[in-house]
Amino acid sequence: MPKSSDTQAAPINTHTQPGYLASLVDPKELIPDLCQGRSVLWVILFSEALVIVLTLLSSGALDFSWEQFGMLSLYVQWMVLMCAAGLCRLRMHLPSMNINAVTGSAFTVIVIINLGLCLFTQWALNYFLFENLGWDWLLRNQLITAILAALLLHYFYVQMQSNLRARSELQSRVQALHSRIRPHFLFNSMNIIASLIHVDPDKAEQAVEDLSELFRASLKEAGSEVSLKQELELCKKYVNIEQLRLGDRLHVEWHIDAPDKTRIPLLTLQPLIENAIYHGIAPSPTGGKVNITLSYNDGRIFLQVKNPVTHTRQNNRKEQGNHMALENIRHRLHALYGENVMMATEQQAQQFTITIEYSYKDTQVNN
Amino acid sequence: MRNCESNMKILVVDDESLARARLCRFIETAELGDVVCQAQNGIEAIEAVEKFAPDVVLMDIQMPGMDGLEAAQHLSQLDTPPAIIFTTAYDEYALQAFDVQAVGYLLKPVRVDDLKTALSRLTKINKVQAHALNKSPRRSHISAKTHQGLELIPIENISLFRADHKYISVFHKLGELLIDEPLKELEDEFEGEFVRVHRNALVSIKAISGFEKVDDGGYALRLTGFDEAIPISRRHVAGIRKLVKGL
Repeated sequence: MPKSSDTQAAPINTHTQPGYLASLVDPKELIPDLCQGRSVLWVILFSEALVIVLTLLSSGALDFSWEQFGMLSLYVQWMVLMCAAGLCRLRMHLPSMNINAVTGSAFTVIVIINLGLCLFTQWALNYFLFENLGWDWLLRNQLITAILAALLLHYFYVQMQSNLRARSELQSRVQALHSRIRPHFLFNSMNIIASLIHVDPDKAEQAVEDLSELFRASLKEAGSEVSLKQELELCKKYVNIEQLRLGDRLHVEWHIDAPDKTRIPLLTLQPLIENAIYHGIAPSPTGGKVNITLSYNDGRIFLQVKNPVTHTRQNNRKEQGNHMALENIRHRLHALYGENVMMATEQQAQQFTITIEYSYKDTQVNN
Repeated sequence: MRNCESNMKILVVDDESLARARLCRFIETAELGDVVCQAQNGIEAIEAVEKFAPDVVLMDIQMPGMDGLEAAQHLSQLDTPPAIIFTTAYDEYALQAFDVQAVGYLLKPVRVDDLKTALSRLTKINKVQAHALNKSPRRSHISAKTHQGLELIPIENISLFRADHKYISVFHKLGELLIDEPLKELEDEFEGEFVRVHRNALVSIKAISGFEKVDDGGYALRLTGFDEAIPISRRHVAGIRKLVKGL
């Protein structure tokens, strides 16, 4: 059971890497969906505005040149509609590739369409009106198109990035919530309570109270700090519920040596215990002992949870949950205490240990 | 549904005693049948089925040792397997493996009315569904029907699968038995733990103790607790040599 290896890092850990962003979404989404009437309408309106700007710049407001406006509109509308059609096709038929390739092909499509249109315009004017626009006109046109296309694609890229960020944030919030409220735990606890109501109403009442406390804590804002005493009470409530479920398979040993007033982030220790029980005790027919150590020494907080290793053969799915929970804790501690948080896991043949250590300065504790 | 006249014999399997107690209470108070036995995990469940021949098994899915899905899969090999109703707290993806319409399952906390309904339209797991279960995580045991009943061999005790005409001989710590499964499927299921060395042989990587040259120029493998050398076919030699070096 490769618990200690961090090869399968949780997505939350990697959400700043472009690779992860790309995996969240198809790079093709860089190109907006131009196959829809509504987006084509926007493209037309936008390009008309651009045409007005260009006409105003060259002819002024009072002498607004309707002739120039008409000619430019004709050209620009042809151009953008053909580009919209080209990009629509491209988006549909592009094989999956990375973001740079998508940008490159979109850019190429636009430039080639413009080149084609330029050549056609030159030929048409020459043929029907005997007017020669010259190579300078072609070059100018191509440069303008290339610059505008680059700006536009950059805008799309930035927009996509911000969409992705929003999406990945949402996803990690959902994951965090899910890992804090394990559905399996919830429904099994409900089942136990349903059973206890008949056998032992007092215990059932106690279990409902404990479960409520746990869920109240789960719904609190992540990162809020509580006193060590509060966190420990929460852990004991959690262990009480697990004890009801697992009976004499679960033994817990507490070694607490820190002032009650020490502040620790809410739900730091509890998920570690939950992990230990979920992976070490629940899968074992005979159960075992979870060792919990918490001490405060010389401005450092030391947390350690040990559980027996159970060799099950169906653990892959669970492994991911495990990493997620650990990564969540790591992230929360990093956010609160900066980079000096040390978190280590150690996998031995019979025992799995997780250790967390971080500097903690608090006047209340030192006094 | 069998035993229409007499009471239905029910086996309750769950690792949580309070969960078992609740189901037993329902069965008793609603007079749905007789609870013949309770079991705490898949292995106990199989033993209990052989001993008490229940009509129905109420089977939890997540259990230590052997889970409910695997136990159901082994049970489906029996000549007269019991009907199985799964109970689960939150595991719906495990049940996607087969058509839930055909096999009963109940969500915990179980309602007594749902239990009644499930017991009134019992179905047995058919071969197709048992096969679908096979696609779920790899088994912890191999089961074989012998004259003593269903024999369960933990995978870690097996050193060799050898195809022999129609059947496969399973060589394990305590002896040998025959099963009827394709070698290819075993190879896929236990990839990483077992390795194919010959058209007819799949050996446990853990059991490999030596790699040697034999008289006719070929190679063979030595396995712990196994006297005979296992010949390696020519196309597997390079791969096996590399594997043995890495051990």
